Amino acid sequence: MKKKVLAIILFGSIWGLLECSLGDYLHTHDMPAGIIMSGIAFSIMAYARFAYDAKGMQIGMASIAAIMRHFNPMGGCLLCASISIFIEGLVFEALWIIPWHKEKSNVIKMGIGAISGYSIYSIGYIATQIITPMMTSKFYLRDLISNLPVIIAGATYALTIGAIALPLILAIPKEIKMRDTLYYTVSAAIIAVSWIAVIAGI
Amino acid sequence: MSRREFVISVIALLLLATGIASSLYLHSQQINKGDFITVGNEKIYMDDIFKKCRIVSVEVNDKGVVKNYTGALLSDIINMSKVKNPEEHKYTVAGPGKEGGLYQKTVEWDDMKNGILTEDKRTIFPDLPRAFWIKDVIKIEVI
Repeated sequence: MKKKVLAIILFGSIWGLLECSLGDYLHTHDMPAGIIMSGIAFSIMAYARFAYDAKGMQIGMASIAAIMRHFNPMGGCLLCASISIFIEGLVFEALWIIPWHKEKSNVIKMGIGAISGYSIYSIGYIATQIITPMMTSKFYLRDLISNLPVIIAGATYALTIGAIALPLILAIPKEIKMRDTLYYTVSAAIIAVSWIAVIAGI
Repeated sequence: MSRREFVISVIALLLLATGIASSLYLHSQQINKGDFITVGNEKIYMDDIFKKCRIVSVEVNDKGVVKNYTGALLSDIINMSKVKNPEEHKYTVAGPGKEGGLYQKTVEWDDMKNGILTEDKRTIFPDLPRAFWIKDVIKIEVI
C-alpha cells in the first residue's frame, strides 16, 4: 500500500514536471504540445497500471500533475492545462475499468492503445473548450462545434501514438528489483527534484 | 480473430476514420490570408486599422514574464466597421487552426473594449485565458 501511494506521487510528479517543462517548450515553439503530452500522459498511466495493477491510481497521478501544472509560475493558460490533465486521468480510469494490461493479444493491445490515445486527447481537449470559458467568461456551443474538426484531426495522431506505445509499454519488465530502502530513497529524491524544478519555474 | 479482438479493432478503425475525415475536411477548407481582416461582411485593411484606431499597450503575465503587447483596440476596429449598437453584440474571432480549417472563440463587447489586435494579427485579451487569444486573425463575426 505504502509503495502504491509513493508510486502515485512519483509518477504524478514526473508527469507534472514534464507538463511544465517539455509541454511549455513545445507550446512556445509552436509544436503539437497537446498531442505529444497526451501521448506521454497515456504512456505513464498505462505503465503505472501495468506495473501496480491498481485501479484509481491514475486519477491520483493526474490530480498531482494537474496541481503542479496549476501552480507552475512559468505556465501559460494554467487552467486549460490543469483541467485537461485531470480529465485525461478520468478518461483513462473509465476506459481501463477492464484490465486491458492483462491481455496477451497484440491486436487488442494496439486497439486499446489507439482507443485510449484518441479518447484521452480528444475528451481532454473538449473538456477545456467547455470548462475554461465557463469558468472565465462564457461558453458558446458554436465555438465548440466549429473547433471539433481541429480537435478530431489532432486525435488521429494521438490514436497512432497510443497504438504504437501500448504494446511497447506492456513489454517493459514489470518490476525492477530494488531493495526497499533504495526504492524509497530514489523515489523521494525524484519527487523532491520534480517539485523543486516546478516551483523554481523550470 | 476472437470476438473481443474484432470489436476492439472495429472501434479503433472507426475512430481512425473520423480522424482522417476531419483532416480531409480541414485541408479542403481554403483560408484566404491577406493584409486585411473581415469584420462582419466588410474587409478592413491592416494599414487602415493602424491609422484610424487607438493604439494601446496592455500588460500581460505571459508564462511568468510580464510582457507588453501593443496593438489596435478591438472595439475601435468594430466601430470602424459600422456595426450598429456594438455593445449589444457578441464577437467570434477566428484564425487558422493547427490542422487547417478555422479555430474560433466568441467574446463579449467588454472583452473587445479591453482587447487589442497586434500588427502580426494576433488578438490579445488581457482578462481572458490564452485559449481565447487567436493568431493570424482572419475574420471577426458579429452575432
